[in-house]
Amino acid sequence: MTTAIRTVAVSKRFRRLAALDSLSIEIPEGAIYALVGPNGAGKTTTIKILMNILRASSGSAEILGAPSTRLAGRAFSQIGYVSENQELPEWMTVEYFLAYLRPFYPQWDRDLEAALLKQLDLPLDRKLRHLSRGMKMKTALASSLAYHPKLIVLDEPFGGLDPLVRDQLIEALLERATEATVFISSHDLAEIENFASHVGYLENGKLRFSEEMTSLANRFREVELTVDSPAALPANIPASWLHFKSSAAAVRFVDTAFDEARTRAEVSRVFGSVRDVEFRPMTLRSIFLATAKTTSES
Amino acid sequence: MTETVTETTTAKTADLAPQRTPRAIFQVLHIFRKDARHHWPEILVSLLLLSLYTWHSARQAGPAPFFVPGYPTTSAFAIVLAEILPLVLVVAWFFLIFRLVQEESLIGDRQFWVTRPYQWPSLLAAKVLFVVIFIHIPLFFAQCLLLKIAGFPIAPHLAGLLGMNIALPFFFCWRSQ
Repeated sequence: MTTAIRTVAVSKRFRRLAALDSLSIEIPEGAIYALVGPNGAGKTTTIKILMNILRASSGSAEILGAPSTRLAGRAFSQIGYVSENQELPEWMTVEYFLAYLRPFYPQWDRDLEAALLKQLDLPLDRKLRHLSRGMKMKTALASSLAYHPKLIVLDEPFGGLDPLVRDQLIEALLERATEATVFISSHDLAEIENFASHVGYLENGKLRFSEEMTSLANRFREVELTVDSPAALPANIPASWLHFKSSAAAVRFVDTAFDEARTRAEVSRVFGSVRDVEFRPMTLRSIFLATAKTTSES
Repeated sequence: MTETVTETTTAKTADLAPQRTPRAIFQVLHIFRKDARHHWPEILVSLLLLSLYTWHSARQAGPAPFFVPGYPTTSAFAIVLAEILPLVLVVAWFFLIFRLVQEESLIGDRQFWVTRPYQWPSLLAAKVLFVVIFIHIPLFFAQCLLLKIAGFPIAPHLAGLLGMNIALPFFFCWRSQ
Protein backbone atom coordinates (compact mmCIF):
# COMPACT_ATOMS: atom_id res chain seq x y z
CA MET A 1 0.00 0.00 0.00
CA THR A 2 1.40 3.42 -0.96
CA THR A 3 1.72 6.28 1.47
CA ALA A 4 -0.32 9.47 1.11
CA ILE A 5 1.38 11.39 3.92
CA ARG A 6 4.71 10.70 5.57
CA THR A 7 6.49 12.85 8.11
CA VAL A 8 9.95 12.03 9.41
CA ALA A 9 11.07 13.61 12.67
CA VAL A 10 9.29 16.88 11.93
CA SER A 11 9.88 19.53 14.58
CA LYS A 12 8.70 23.09 14.75
CA ARG A 13 9.84 25.75 17.16
CA PHE A 14 8.36 29.20 17.61
CA ARG A 15 11.26 30.96 19.30
CA ARG A 16 11.58 29.04 22.57
CA LEU A 17 8.32 27.14 22.26
CA ALA A 18 8.50 23.66 20.78
CA ALA A 19 5.19 23.29 18.95
CA LEU A 20 6.12 19.95 17.40
CA ASP A 21 8.73 17.52 18.60
CA SER A 22 10.03 14.93 16.16
CA LEU A 23 6.71 13.97 14.66
CA SER A 24 6.81 10.85 12.51
CA ILE A 25 3.63 9.52 10.97
CA GLU A 26 2.79 7.45 7.95
CA ILE A 27 -0.68 7.48 6.47
CA PRO A 28 -1.58 4.93 3.82
CA GLU A 29 -3.60 5.94 0.78
CA GLY A 30 -7.32 5.60 1.32
CA ALA A 31 -7.09 5.95 5.11
CA ILE A 32 -9.20 8.29 7.18
CA TYR A 33 -6.62 9.49 9.66
CA ALA A 34 -7.76 11.44 12.70
CA LEU A 35 -5.19 13.53 14.54
CA VAL A 36 -6.56 14.28 17.96
CA GLY A 37 -5.25 15.98 21.03
CA PRO A 38 -5.92 18.83 23.43
CA ASN A 39 -5.73 22.51 22.50
CA GLY A 40 -2.18 23.60 21.76
CA ALA A 41 -1.04 20.04 21.08
CA GLY A 42 0.33 20.99 17.66
CA LYS A 43 -2.43 19.68 15.37
CA THR A 44 -2.87 22.86 13.36
CA THR A 45 0.91 23.35 13.17
CA THR A 46 1.21 19.83 11.76
CA ILE A 47 -1.41 20.54 9.12
CA LYS A 48 0.14 23.88 8.20
CA ILE A 49 3.51 22.20 7.71
CA LEU A 50 1.90 19.51 5.56
CA MET A 51 0.16 22.18 3.48
CA ASN A 52 3.42 24.15 3.11
CA ILE A 53 1.89 27.11 4.92
CA LEU A 54 4.59 26.81 7.59
CA ARG A 55 8.14 25.53 7.28
CA ALA A 56 9.32 22.85 9.70
CA SER A 57 12.33 23.73 11.84
CA SER A 58 13.72 20.26 11.11
CA GLY A 59 12.64 16.95 9.63
CA SER A 60 10.80 16.31 6.40
CA ALA A 61 7.27 15.70 5.20
CA GLU A 62 5.92 14.17 2.02
CA ILE A 63 2.48 14.65 0.53
CA LEU A 64 1.36 12.27 -2.23
CA GLY A 65 4.96 11.31 -2.86
CA ALA A 66 6.49 14.78 -3.10
CA PRO A 67 8.15 16.95 -0.44
CA SER A 68 5.62 19.20 1.27
CA THR A 69 7.99 22.13 0.78
CA ARG A 70 7.30 21.86 -2.97
CA LEU A 71 3.56 21.96 -2.49
CA ALA A 72 2.31 25.01 -4.39
CA GLY A 73 0.22 26.08 -7.34
CA ARG A 74 -1.00 23.21 -9.49
CA ALA A 75 -0.22 20.63 -6.80
CA PHE A 76 -3.21 21.94 -4.84
CA SER A 77 -5.57 20.76 -7.56
CA GLN A 78 -5.16 17.29 -6.00
CA ILE A 79 -5.71 18.45 -2.44
CA GLY A 80 -8.80 19.69 -0.63
CA TYR A 81 -8.10 21.79 2.45
CA VAL A 82 -10.73 23.01 4.87
CA SER A 83 -9.91 24.78 8.10
CA GLU A 84 -12.04 26.37 10.77
CA ASN A 85 -9.70 29.37 10.69
CA GLN A 86 -9.69 29.82 6.95
CA GLU A 87 -10.51 33.31 5.66
CA LEU A 88 -12.88 32.98 2.74
CA PRO A 89 -13.58 35.80 0.25
CA GLU A 90 -16.60 37.03 2.17
CA TRP A 91 -17.82 39.37 -0.56
CA MET A 92 -18.56 36.46 -2.88
CA THR A 93 -21.86 34.65 -3.02
CA VAL A 94 -21.77 30.87 -2.66
CA GLU A 95 -22.53 30.56 -6.37
CA TYR A 96 -19.78 32.97 -7.42
CA PHE A 97 -17.27 31.39 -5.03
CA LEU A 98 -17.79 27.99 -6.66
CA ALA A 99 -17.83 29.50 -10.15
CA TYR A 100 -14.60 31.34 -9.37
CA LEU A 101 -12.82 28.22 -8.14
CA ARG A 102 -14.13 25.94 -10.91
CA PRO A 103 -11.62 26.89 -13.65
CA PHE A 104 -8.67 26.36 -11.31
CA TYR A 105 -9.44 22.64 -11.28
CA PRO A 106 -9.36 20.78 -14.59
CA GLN A 107 -11.11 17.81 -12.99
CA TRP A 108 -13.94 19.86 -11.43
CA ASP A 109 -17.15 17.83 -11.57
CA ARG A 110 -20.26 19.97 -12.17
CA ASP A 111 -22.60 17.08 -11.38
CA LEU A 112 -20.82 16.42 -8.11
CA GLU A 113 -20.95 20.14 -7.31
CA ALA A 114 -24.71 20.17 -7.91
CA ALA A 115 -25.15 17.07 -5.77
CA LEU A 116 -23.10 18.60 -2.95
CA LEU A 117 -25.04 21.85 -3.09
CA LYS A 118 -28.28 19.92 -2.81
CA GLN A 119 -27.04 17.61 -0.09
CA LEU A 120 -25.57 20.40 2.00
CA ASP A 121 -28.51 22.69 1.34
CA LEU A 122 -26.39 25.72 0.49
CA PRO A 123 -28.01 29.06 -0.44
CA LEU A 124 -26.40 29.96 -3.76
CA ASP A 125 -27.31 33.64 -3.76
CA ARG A 126 -26.12 34.44 -0.26
CA LYS A 127 -22.79 36.17 0.37
CA LEU A 128 -20.26 34.22 2.40
CA ARG A 129 -20.15 37.01 4.99
CA HIS A 130 -23.83 36.42 5.67
CA LEU A 131 -23.47 32.70 6.24
CA SER A 132 -23.36 31.05 9.64
CA ARG A 133 -20.20 29.25 10.69
CA GLY A 134 -21.71 25.90 9.81
CA MET A 135 -22.80 27.11 6.37
CA LYS A 136 -19.31 28.48 5.72
CA MET A 137 -17.77 25.13 6.62
CA LYS A 138 -20.23 23.39 4.33
CA THR A 139 -19.38 25.78 1.48
CA ALA A 140 -15.66 25.26 2.06
CA LEU A 141 -16.18 21.50 2.08
CA ALA A 142 -18.27 21.52 -1.10
CA SER A 143 -15.61 23.64 -2.81
CA SER A 144 -12.96 21.15 -1.71
CA LEU A 145 -14.75 17.96 -2.73
CA ALA A 146 -16.11 18.92 -6.15
CA TYR A 147 -12.86 18.17 -7.98
CA HIS A 148 -12.25 14.66 -6.60
CA PRO A 149 -9.10 15.49 -4.63
CA LYS A 150 -6.74 12.64 -3.82
CA LEU A 151 -6.14 14.06 -0.37
CA ILE A 152 -8.60 15.91 1.86
CA VAL A 153 -7.17 17.79 4.83
CA LEU A 154 -9.60 19.09 7.43
CA ASP A 155 -8.48 21.19 10.38
CA GLU A 156 -11.03 21.13 13.20
CA PRO A 157 -14.00 21.09 10.84
CA PHE A 158 -16.61 20.32 13.50
CA GLY A 159 -15.65 22.87 16.17
CA GLY A 160 -18.68 24.75 17.42
CA LEU A 161 -21.11 23.21 14.94
CA ASP A 162 -24.51 21.90 15.85
CA PRO A 163 -25.04 18.12 15.55
CA LEU A 164 -27.15 18.41 12.40
CA VAL A 165 -24.51 20.36 10.49
CA ARG A 166 -21.82 18.04 11.81
CA ASP A 167 -23.73 15.03 10.51
CA GLN A 168 -24.23 16.69 7.14
CA LEU A 169 -20.52 17.43 6.86
CA ILE A 170 -19.49 13.92 7.82
CA GLU A 171 -22.05 12.36 5.50
CA ALA A 172 -20.91 14.49 2.57
CA LEU A 173 -17.29 13.73 3.34
CA LEU A 174 -17.74 9.98 3.62
CA GLU A 175 -20.01 9.66 0.60
CA ARG A 176 -17.89 11.74 -1.75
CA ALA A 177 -14.39 10.92 -0.58
CA THR A 178 -14.40 7.18 -1.11
CA GLU A 179 -11.25 7.23 -3.22
CA ALA A 180 -9.41 9.90 -1.26
CA THR A 181 -7.18 9.88 1.77
CA VAL A 182 -8.63 11.99 4.56
CA PHE A 183 -6.52 13.69 7.22
CA ILE A 184 -8.61 15.32 9.90
CA SER A 185 -7.77 17.05 13.15
CA SER A 186 -10.53 17.22 15.68
CA HIS A 187 -11.57 17.42 19.28
CA ASP A 188 -14.76 15.59 18.56
CA LEU A 189 -13.73 12.13 19.65
CA ALA A 190 -17.22 10.64 19.52
CA GLU A 191 -17.64 11.63 15.87
CA ILE A 192 -14.13 10.57 14.93
CA GLU A 193 -14.66 7.15 16.45
CA ASN A 194 -17.49 6.48 14.02
CA PHE A 195 -15.56 6.89 10.82
CA ALA A 196 -11.79 7.15 11.27
CA SER A 197 -9.71 4.18 10.17
CA HIS A 198 -6.52 5.42 11.82
CA VAL A 199 -5.90 7.68 14.78
CA GLY A 200 -2.97 9.60 16.16
CA TYR A 201 -2.80 11.27 19.53
CA LEU A 202 -0.73 14.41 19.79
CA GLU A 203 0.10 16.06 23.08
CA ASN A 204 2.48 18.92 23.75
CA GLY A 205 3.87 18.48 20.26
CA LYS A 206 4.66 14.80 20.80
CA LEU A 207 2.89 11.93 19.13
CA ARG A 208 1.81 9.54 21.89
CA PHE A 209 0.53 6.91 19.48
CA SER A 210 -0.52 6.51 15.88
CA GLU A 211 -2.27 3.35 14.78
CA GLU A 212 -5.31 1.78 13.23
CA MET A 213 -8.54 2.31 15.14
CA THR A 214 -9.23 -1.41 15.36
CA SER A 215 -5.81 -2.14 16.81
CA LEU A 216 -6.20 0.73 19.28
CA ALA A 217 -9.66 -0.45 20.32
CA ASN A 218 -8.35 -4.01 20.69
CA ARG A 219 -5.36 -3.19 22.84
CA PHE A 220 -7.15 -0.96 25.38
CA ARG A 221 -9.42 -2.56 27.97
CA GLU A 222 -10.80 -1.46 31.28
CA VAL A 223 -10.24 -4.38 33.60
CA GLU A 224 -12.25 -4.96 36.74
CA LEU A 225 -11.27 -7.65 39.23
CA THR A 226 -13.54 -8.84 42.00
CA VAL A 227 -11.40 -9.82 44.97
CA ASP A 228 -12.23 -11.47 48.27
CA SER A 229 -10.55 -8.89 50.45
CA PRO A 230 -9.01 -5.49 49.81
CA ALA A 231 -5.33 -5.84 49.03
CA ALA A 232 -2.50 -3.36 48.80
CA LEU A 233 -1.35 -2.57 45.30
CA PRO A 234 1.22 -5.21 44.29
CA ALA A 235 4.66 -3.94 43.40
CA ASN A 236 5.32 -6.02 40.31
CA ILE A 237 2.55 -4.81 38.04
CA PRO A 238 3.11 -4.69 34.25
CA ALA A 239 3.98 -1.30 32.79
CA SER A 240 0.98 -1.49 30.47
CA TRP A 241 -1.47 -1.34 33.40
CA LEU A 242 -2.54 2.18 34.29
CA HIS A 243 -4.81 4.05 36.68
CA PHE A 244 -5.33 1.60 39.47
CA LYS A 245 -8.37 2.12 41.64
CA SER A 246 -9.23 -0.25 44.41
CA SER A 247 -12.20 -0.51 46.69
CA ALA A 248 -13.30 -3.04 49.26
CA ALA A 249 -14.02 -5.81 46.81
CA ALA A 250 -12.84 -4.60 43.46
CA VAL A 251 -9.73 -3.47 41.63
CA ARG A 252 -9.95 -1.49 38.40
CA PHE A 253 -7.26 -0.53 35.95
CA VAL A 254 -6.68 0.16 32.27
CA ASP A 255 -4.68 -2.35 30.27
CA THR A 256 -3.00 -0.66 27.30
CA ALA A 257 -1.65 -3.89 25.80
CA PHE A 258 -4.67 -6.14 26.15
CA ASP A 259 -4.58 -9.73 25.04
CA GLU A 260 -7.15 -11.80 26.87
CA ALA A 261 -5.05 -14.89 27.54
CA ARG A 262 -1.96 -12.92 28.46
CA THR A 263 -3.86 -10.43 30.61
CA ARG A 264 -5.63 -13.26 32.50
CA ALA A 265 -2.26 -14.91 33.13
CA GLU A 266 -0.78 -11.61 34.36
CA VAL A 267 -3.76 -11.01 36.66
CA SER A 268 -3.28 -14.46 38.19
CA ARG A 269 0.44 -13.85 38.61
CA VAL A 270 0.00 -10.45 40.23
CA PHE A 271 -3.16 -10.91 42.31
CA GLY A 272 -3.25 -14.66 42.84
CA SER A 273 -6.80 -15.99 42.82
CA VAL A 274 -9.57 -13.51 42.04
CA ARG A 275 -13.29 -14.19 42.14
CA ASP A 276 -14.11 -12.61 38.81
CA VAL A 277 -12.37 -10.76 35.96
CA GLU A 278 -14.23 -8.48 33.59
CA PHE A 279 -12.79 -6.85 30.47
CA ARG A 280 -14.66 -3.81 29.14
CA PRO A 281 -13.99 -2.25 25.74
CA MET A 282 -13.20 1.44 25.95
CA THR A 283 -14.47 4.34 23.91
CA LEU A 284 -11.99 6.55 22.11
CA ARG A 285 -12.73 9.26 24.64
CA SER A 286 -11.87 6.98 27.59
CA ILE A 287 -8.69 5.87 25.85
CA PHE A 288 -7.58 9.45 25.34
CA LEU A 289 -8.48 10.45 28.86
CA ALA A 290 -6.46 7.53 30.20
CA THR A 291 -3.51 8.41 27.99
CA ALA A 292 -3.70 12.12 28.82
CA LYS A 293 -3.94 11.38 32.53
CA THR A 294 -0.89 9.13 32.36
CA THR A 295 1.09 11.82 30.60
CA SER A 296 0.11 14.50 33.09
CA GLU A 297 0.92 12.20 36.02
CA SER A 298 4.32 11.36 34.62
CA MET B 1 -13.75 28.16 -19.15
CA THR B 2 -12.50 24.66 -19.76
CA GLU B 3 -9.52 25.55 -21.89
CA THR B 4 -6.67 23.29 -20.89
CA VAL B 5 -3.19 22.44 -22.00
CA THR B 6 -1.15 19.30 -21.57
CA GLU B 7 2.05 19.70 -19.62
CA THR B 8 4.76 17.21 -18.83
CA THR B 9 5.71 16.75 -15.23
CA THR B 10 8.62 15.07 -13.52
CA ALA B 11 8.06 11.60 -12.17
CA LYS B 12 8.58 12.85 -8.62
CA THR B 13 5.68 15.24 -8.77
CA ALA B 14 3.48 13.13 -11.02
CA ASP B 15 0.95 12.61 -8.27
CA LEU B 16 0.77 16.22 -7.29
CA ALA B 17 0.70 17.83 -10.73
CA PRO B 18 -2.22 16.94 -12.96
CA GLN B 19 -1.56 16.33 -16.63
CA ARG B 20 -4.01 18.96 -17.78
CA THR B 21 -3.97 22.38 -16.19
CA PRO B 22 -5.59 25.68 -17.16
CA ARG B 23 -3.53 27.96 -19.38
CA ALA B 24 -1.62 30.59 -17.43
CA ILE B 25 -3.16 33.39 -19.49
CA PHE B 26 -6.62 32.09 -18.67
CA GLN B 27 -5.82 32.19 -14.96
CA VAL B 28 -4.53 35.75 -15.35
CA LEU B 29 -7.78 36.86 -16.96
CA HIS B 30 -9.86 34.90 -14.50
CA ILE B 31 -8.23 36.59 -11.48
CA PHE B 32 -8.39 39.97 -13.25
CA ARG B 33 -12.14 39.61 -13.88
CA LYS B 34 -12.71 38.70 -10.25
CA ASP B 35 -10.75 41.73 -9.03
CA ALA B 36 -12.56 44.07 -11.43
CA ARG B 37 -15.91 42.69 -10.27
CA HIS B 38 -15.04 43.14 -6.61
CA HIS B 39 -13.42 46.56 -6.83
CA TRP B 40 -15.73 48.32 -9.26
CA PRO B 41 -16.67 51.03 -6.72
CA GLU B 42 -13.02 51.95 -6.16
CA ILE B 43 -12.37 51.79 -9.90
CA LEU B 44 -15.34 54.04 -10.54
CA VAL B 45 -14.19 56.57 -7.92
CA SER B 46 -10.65 56.71 -9.34
CA LEU B 47 -11.96 57.13 -12.90
CA LEU B 48 -14.35 59.86 -11.78
CA LEU B 49 -11.57 61.69 -9.98
CA LEU B 50 -9.33 61.42 -13.03
CA SER B 51 -12.15 62.74 -15.22
CA LEU B 52 -12.74 65.62 -12.83
CA TYR B 53 -9.03 66.42 -12.75
CA THR B 54 -8.84 66.34 -16.56
CA TRP B 55 -11.95 68.48 -16.93
CA HIS B 56 -10.71 71.00 -14.36
CA SER B 57 -7.25 71.21 -15.96
CA ALA B 58 -8.76 71.66 -19.39
CA ARG B 59 -11.03 74.44 -18.20
CA GLN B 60 -8.15 76.24 -16.54
CA ALA B 61 -5.55 75.96 -19.26
CA GLY B 62 -7.12 74.82 -22.47
CA PRO B 63 -8.27 76.97 -25.40
CA ALA B 64 -11.91 77.37 -26.41
CA PRO B 65 -14.21 75.56 -26.29
CA PHE B 66 -12.64 73.94 -23.25
CA PHE B 67 -11.31 77.09 -21.72
CA VAL B 68 -14.17 78.99 -20.24
CA PRO B 69 -13.60 82.74 -19.90
CA GLY B 70 -14.36 83.65 -16.38
CA TYR B 71 -13.76 80.09 -15.11
CA PRO B 72 -12.51 80.79 -11.64
CA THR B 73 -8.79 80.04 -11.87
CA THR B 74 -7.87 82.19 -8.92
CA SER B 75 -10.86 81.64 -6.68
CA ALA B 76 -10.43 79.65 -3.50
CA PHE B 77 -12.53 76.89 -5.00
CA ALA B 78 -10.33 76.62 -8.09
CA ILE B 79 -7.13 76.71 -6.06
CA VAL B 80 -8.42 74.04 -3.71
CA LEU B 81 -9.47 71.90 -6.67
CA ALA B 82 -6.13 72.36 -8.37
CA GLU B 83 -4.20 71.59 -5.19
CA ILE B 84 -6.38 68.89 -3.73
CA LEU B 85 -7.53 66.97 -6.77
CA PRO B 86 -4.14 65.49 -7.75
CA LEU B 87 -3.57 64.48 -4.16
CA VAL B 88 -7.01 62.90 -3.84
CA LEU B 89 -6.46 61.11 -7.13
CA VAL B 90 -3.15 59.67 -5.95
CA VAL B 91 -4.74 58.63 -2.65
CA ALA B 92 -7.55 56.93 -4.58
CA TRP B 93 -4.98 55.05 -6.67
CA PHE B 94 -3.07 54.07 -3.53
CA PHE B 95 -6.29 52.82 -1.99
CA LEU B 96 -7.23 50.88 -5.12
CA ILE B 97 -3.83 49.20 -5.27
CA PHE B 98 -3.89 48.49 -1.54
CA ARG B 99 -7.30 46.83 -1.85
CA LEU B 100 -6.11 44.90 -4.87
CA VAL B 101 -3.10 43.53 -3.02
CA GLN B 102 -5.26 42.74 0.02
CA GLU B 103 -7.52 40.63 -2.18
CA GLU B 104 -4.87 37.89 -2.13
CA SER B 105 -2.96 39.08 0.88
CA LEU B 106 0.57 37.82 1.31
CA ILE B 107 0.52 38.46 5.04
CA GLY B 108 -0.93 35.77 7.25
CA ASP B 109 -1.55 32.09 6.75
CA ARG B 110 -5.32 31.85 6.79
CA GLN B 111 -6.21 33.10 3.32
CA PHE B 112 -8.18 30.61 1.29
CA TRP B 113 -6.08 31.16 -1.83
CA VAL B 114 -2.80 29.85 -0.36
CA THR B 115 -4.12 26.29 -0.58
CA ARG B 116 -5.72 26.69 -4.02
CA PRO B 117 -3.99 26.08 -7.37
CA TYR B 118 -2.92 29.68 -7.85
CA GLN B 119 0.21 30.15 -9.89
CA TRP B 120 2.43 32.96 -8.70
CA PRO B 121 3.29 34.39 -12.12
CA SER B 122 -0.41 34.40 -13.07
CA LEU B 123 -1.39 36.12 -9.84
CA LEU B 124 1.28 38.78 -10.27
CA ALA B 125 0.39 39.26 -13.95
CA ALA B 126 -3.32 39.64 -13.07
CA LYS B 127 -2.52 42.39 -10.56
CA VAL B 128 -0.22 44.19 -12.99
CA LEU B 129 -2.88 43.94 -15.71
CA PHE B 130 -5.43 45.44 -13.34
CA VAL B 131 -3.19 48.43 -12.55
CA VAL B 132 -2.39 48.96 -16.22
CA ILE B 133 -6.04 48.78 -17.30
CA PHE B 134 -7.56 50.88 -14.54
CA ILE B 135 -4.77 53.34 -13.69
CA HIS B 136 -2.16 53.59 -16.44
CA ILE B 137 -4.34 53.52 -19.53
CA PRO B 138 -6.93 56.04 -18.24
CA LEU B 139 -4.09 58.32 -17.11
CA PHE B 140 -2.36 57.97 -20.46
CA PHE B 141 -5.53 58.93 -22.32
CA ALA B 142 -6.18 61.83 -19.93
CA GLN B 143 -2.67 63.14 -20.57
CA CYS B 144 -3.11 62.77 -24.33
CA LEU B 145 -6.40 64.67 -24.10
CA LEU B 146 -4.85 67.47 -22.06
CA LEU B 147 -1.98 67.78 -24.54
CA LYS B 148 -4.45 67.96 -27.40
CA ILE B 149 -6.58 70.55 -25.62
CA ALA B 150 -3.51 72.64 -24.85
CA GLY B 151 -2.68 72.58 -28.56
CA PHE B 152 0.35 70.33 -28.46
CA PRO B 153 0.78 67.49 -30.93
CA ILE B 154 0.59 64.10 -29.21
CA ALA B 155 2.96 62.05 -31.34
CA PRO B 156 6.23 63.84 -30.36
CA HIS B 157 5.28 63.53 -26.70
CA LEU B 158 4.26 59.87 -26.75
CA ALA B 159 7.63 58.66 -25.51
CA GLY B 160 7.51 61.13 -22.63
CA LEU B 161 3.97 60.12 -21.69
CA LEU B 162 4.82 56.43 -21.78
CA GLY B 163 7.95 57.07 -19.74
CA MET B 164 5.89 58.94 -17.17
CA ASN B 165 3.44 56.06 -16.99
CA ILE B 166 6.25 53.57 -16.55
CA ALA B 167 7.78 55.74 -13.84
CA LEU B 168 4.46 55.97 -11.98
CA PRO B 169 4.84 52.66 -10.09
CA PHE B 170 8.29 53.76 -8.92
CA PHE B 171 6.75 56.98 -7.67
CA PHE B 172 4.21 54.93 -5.72
CA CYS B 173 6.98 52.78 -4.29
CA TRP B 174 9.01 55.85 -3.35
CA ARG B 175 6.02 57.58 -1.73
CA SER B 176 5.03 54.51 0.23
CA GLN B 177 8.46 54.18 1.90
